[in-house]
Amino acid sequence: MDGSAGIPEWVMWVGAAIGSMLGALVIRLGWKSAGGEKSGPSDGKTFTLDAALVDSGAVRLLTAAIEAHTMEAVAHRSEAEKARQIGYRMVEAVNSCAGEIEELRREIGDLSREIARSK
Amino acid sequence: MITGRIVERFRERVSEWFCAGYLFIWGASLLHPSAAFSAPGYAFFRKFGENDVGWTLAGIGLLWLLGLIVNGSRQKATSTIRLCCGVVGSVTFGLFGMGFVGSYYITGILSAGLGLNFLLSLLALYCLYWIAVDKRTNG
Repeated sequence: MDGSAGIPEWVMWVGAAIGSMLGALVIRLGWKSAGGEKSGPSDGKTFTLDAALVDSGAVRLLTAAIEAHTMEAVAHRSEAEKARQIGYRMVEAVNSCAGEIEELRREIGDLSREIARSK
Repeated sequence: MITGRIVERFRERVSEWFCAGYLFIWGASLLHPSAAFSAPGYAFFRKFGENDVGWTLAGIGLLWLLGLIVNGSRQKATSTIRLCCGVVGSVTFGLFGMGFVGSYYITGILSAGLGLNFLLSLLALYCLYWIAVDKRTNG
């Protein structure tokens, strides 16, 4: 075998190109494995968020729960407003009664003074 | 403190240190005045020149080692250098493996360097995977 050129130079160039592509592929694999799948698959039903897998059913359940909670909060707020208005009216009524009693007391006083004068 | 961080990360980067160190020492050995390429196993490499090959290998190895030393203490600083040196190192080992195949075709003598360099190329690819993971995770 002595005297031959070994392997042709173009084989080395092809080897270098294949090696570089293999290197790029390995980097891509490592990069993707560390960062997780960032975009959802083509079915559009599931996607991975870092390590957690979230499917569309779980998202629907969560949405329904949030909606129910919001409705309940609105109903509670309406009830609380009604109670506040009733309380306000009661305070108004009690104030009015106090005024009436005050007036009666004054009239009774006037009447008793008149009776005393007529005697 | 810097040495402590390098030692701490050395355990997970030991194969990378080995590849870088091997490239550097091999290149430095070729720079020695003795005619290493006169050995039959290096017959294919004679046309590239011992001095040029030595400087190339030692340069890549030294850069990779520096990247590891700095990156061991400053995580985000030199990960790109390590990544580039990983690619170059892997390709270099693969090409050397092919070169030993060429030497076999010239002299008919099969060198142990043939299998060793292809294995080192695979080891450098393995390092490259974890460098990419490290770069993505820590910057």
